[in-house]
Amino acid sequence: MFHESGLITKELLVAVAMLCAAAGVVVVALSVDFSPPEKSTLGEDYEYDLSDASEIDPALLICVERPQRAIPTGLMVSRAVASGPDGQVCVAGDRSVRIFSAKGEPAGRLEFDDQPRCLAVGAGGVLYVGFRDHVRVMDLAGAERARWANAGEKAMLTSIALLGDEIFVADAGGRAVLRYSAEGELRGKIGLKDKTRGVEGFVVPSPYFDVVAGADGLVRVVNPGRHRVEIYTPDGEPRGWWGGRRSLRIADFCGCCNPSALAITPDGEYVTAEKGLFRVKIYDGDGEMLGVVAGPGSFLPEVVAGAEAQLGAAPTALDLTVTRDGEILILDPRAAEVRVFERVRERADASSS
Amino acid sequence: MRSLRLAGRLHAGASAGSARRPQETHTMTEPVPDNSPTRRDILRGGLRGACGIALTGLAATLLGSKRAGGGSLVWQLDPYKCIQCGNCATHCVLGVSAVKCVHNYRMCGYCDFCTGYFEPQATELDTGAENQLCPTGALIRRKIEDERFEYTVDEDRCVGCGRCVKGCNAFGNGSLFLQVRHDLCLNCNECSIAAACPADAFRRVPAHSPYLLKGAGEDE
Repeated sequence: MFHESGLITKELLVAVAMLCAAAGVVVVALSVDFSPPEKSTLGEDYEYDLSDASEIDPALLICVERPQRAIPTGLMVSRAVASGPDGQVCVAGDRSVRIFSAKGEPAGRLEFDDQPRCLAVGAGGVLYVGFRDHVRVMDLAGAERARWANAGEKAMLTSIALLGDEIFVADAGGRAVLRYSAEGELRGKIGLKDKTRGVEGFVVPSPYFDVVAGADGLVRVVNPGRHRVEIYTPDGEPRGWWGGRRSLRIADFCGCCNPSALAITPDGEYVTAEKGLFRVKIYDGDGEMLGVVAGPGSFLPEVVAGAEAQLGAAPTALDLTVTRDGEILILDPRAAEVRVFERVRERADASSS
Repeated sequence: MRSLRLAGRLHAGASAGSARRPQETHTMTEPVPDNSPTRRDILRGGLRGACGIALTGLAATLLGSKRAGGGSLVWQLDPYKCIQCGNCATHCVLGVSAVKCVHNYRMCGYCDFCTGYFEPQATELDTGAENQLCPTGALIRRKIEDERFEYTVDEDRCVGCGRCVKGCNAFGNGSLFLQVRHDLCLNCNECSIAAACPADAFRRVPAHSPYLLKGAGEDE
């Protein structure tokens, strides 16, 4: 009847049918998850689950981030951060070192023919830049003052610390800390196995091996394979260690080899960063955890679908430094930023940890 | 030229067949010349056509293999794209997958607490099954010296689930990764794992260089 009256034509029926089909396609498209599965399709028994350890009790947080003060590095691959006595912030990555003022404004840029892997800033704007097997001494204007001798075929320099007029360089390949004079003369090595001195030796499974110097004249070295921080005199006498507990518990260090980075505050407290499960924490001088700076939720996840393909073998571990004012600067390679954290509490509630 | 003439003849035959009926109706007594192809014509034409198609295919294959580097292509898994979803263990047409965990020892940290070997919450660093991450016990741990341990893959036990790879990637150097083992792979034309791979990590590689190995970069 309607057909006869001309209200429903064949064209109208076809149009309605096409609309229904299109709506069906849209519904199916919206209901299907095209993103790669985050969990194993084989079930729970095959899952590698760190979600419990990724949760951080908010009561443990003793720092807050100042996101408006974050410093974009402008680097594809960021490796190391250091702060100078005048407040400047230097970041090593790609084939350059970027220099920023204390306020985070770009203040200079040094280009190299090789990849800088670590750095330290001394008094008077002297910059010590570590490459795979040697150190170059630069000024902040980019002039090369000295290039030290090659540290050896196996050398993999990962960290530099300044103590008085001496320079301590962590060599992950040689599993030792190299002690240099200001002129680049090698004076000795710290941490080589020596039973007579009670030195067990460094276990360094990956190129994350940090050294810092304290105001007390002692050198602190991460022994990542043993999950502890060891303390030495400048001439290599062991003065003790703390840590050594390997677990996912927040007060311990997780994974095969952590902490991956270490810094020391003007008060002699330690700031540690872990790779794998990104955790940044503060410990007192005896190694008791005081609180958490940032937990895994503050960083992009380590395992992201496709990210490995984009980043390849580029390092993604965090690096740390503490400014003269006590602010904690975290170099976040995935965000390509130096992120600024400010301490707001001395320690977390004892009941929380 | 031959195939063109063949097509023309077949077309003419069909036309003649369809146009014959009116002639049969109107001129019953006159003999009508039969232009339709004989069975032999059709067979001969079909054979020529098949030969033509085969020659074209051969030429295309030779051209394709020349572009690929002079050899045939096989399936492989890009370890930097792999997300260890588990499909390699379940989608291979073989009873036990041709995808296996492989180990680049140059990248390995020889860790005591290997996160590819141990459960994240392992209480003891021993070979107890409850501490092992691998559901089939395919990763073998052997002490070398002090805190250094070597980990080898027992490929007969490995099902390609990638659980150890996840653990190694999460904390370690990423020295464990999955690869299609070409002593096992049937090299199906349409790999069923590749079709199911959510990360688009499978691709064809030259058979003379069938593996996509980690460890080429200096940081590794």
